[in-house]
Amino acid sequence: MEQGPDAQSDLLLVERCLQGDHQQWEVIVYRYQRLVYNLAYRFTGRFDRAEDLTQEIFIKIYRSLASFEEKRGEFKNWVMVMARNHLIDHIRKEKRGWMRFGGTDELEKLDYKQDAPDPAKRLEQQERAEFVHDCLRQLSPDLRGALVMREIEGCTYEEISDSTRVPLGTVKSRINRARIELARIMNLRKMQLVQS
Amino acid sequence: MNCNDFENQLGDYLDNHLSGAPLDAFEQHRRQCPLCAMLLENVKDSMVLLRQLPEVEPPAGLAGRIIAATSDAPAKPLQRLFSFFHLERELVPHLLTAALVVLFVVSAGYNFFFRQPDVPGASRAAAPAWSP
Repeated sequence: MEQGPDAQSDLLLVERCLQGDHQQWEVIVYRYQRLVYNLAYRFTGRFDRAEDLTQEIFIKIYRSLASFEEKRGEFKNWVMVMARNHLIDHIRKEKRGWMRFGGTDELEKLDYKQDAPDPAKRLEQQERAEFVHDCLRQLSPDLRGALVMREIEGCTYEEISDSTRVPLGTVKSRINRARIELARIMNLRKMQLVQS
Repeated sequence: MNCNDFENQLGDYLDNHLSGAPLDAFEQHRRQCPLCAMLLENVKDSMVLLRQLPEVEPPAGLAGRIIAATSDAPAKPLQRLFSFFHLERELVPHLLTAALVVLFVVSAGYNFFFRQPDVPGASRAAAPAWSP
């Protein structure tokens, strides 16, 4: 498999890090914190939890660095698999609480990466993102997790089934249900916004 | 096809996994049922919004906190043992305390149930009589 410059440098970083060069680990953290944090935020829909989970994921990655094998794929993919597995475990635990307390309707103001140069457009972009995240948070954790993996991460159904250890048919129906529920939640929210 | 079937096949339709007669039936129901047609449009719109989500900025200082939390050397043998048994390092003091409590209870139980009580005078009786 041909690897890009980042993958090659990742390999060097990992090797040096395992030899005790802690500065190389810092480079890894700065390189991947955004990716992992964003994934954690999409999975949980909570800013505070995403931060804690990102920290937990990096601690896990750090302790497992020696088990990374180049022949099994790029370091970036390995990081994402580690992150995803940790988040899936978290979702399983969260599911119990979610069912007990029934969802969340906390609103969070987040710091989004701003692409638009125009302030009005930036505000619109931010409001739209908050609206989507707010609706996404209303889904049950397992529906949310499956939908994020499929629609945002672009995983195949088979990959989701493997990662979550859930039968393929269940994964498909979960994602179908998640898409429909999210559309209905968004529609309801839009109507509420128009009325208010 | 009814509305329930339409909802069940919506995912396959969006993933382009429908073809032939099932696809025709799906399209026909969409044309005939305004509610299902609207649902399909809403699902498509929501997926577009979802895929367009901008990235979230990690909080300032997160990388620093991660680096501080991982200031020891990576993958020590003891840590690997902990991770093998799914143990967190923070649990170790609690496990040691629990082990000490168990040890105390077992030894107290042993003393209470199995150890022969010291009978006062028993050793004196066995001792040779003093003679001037």
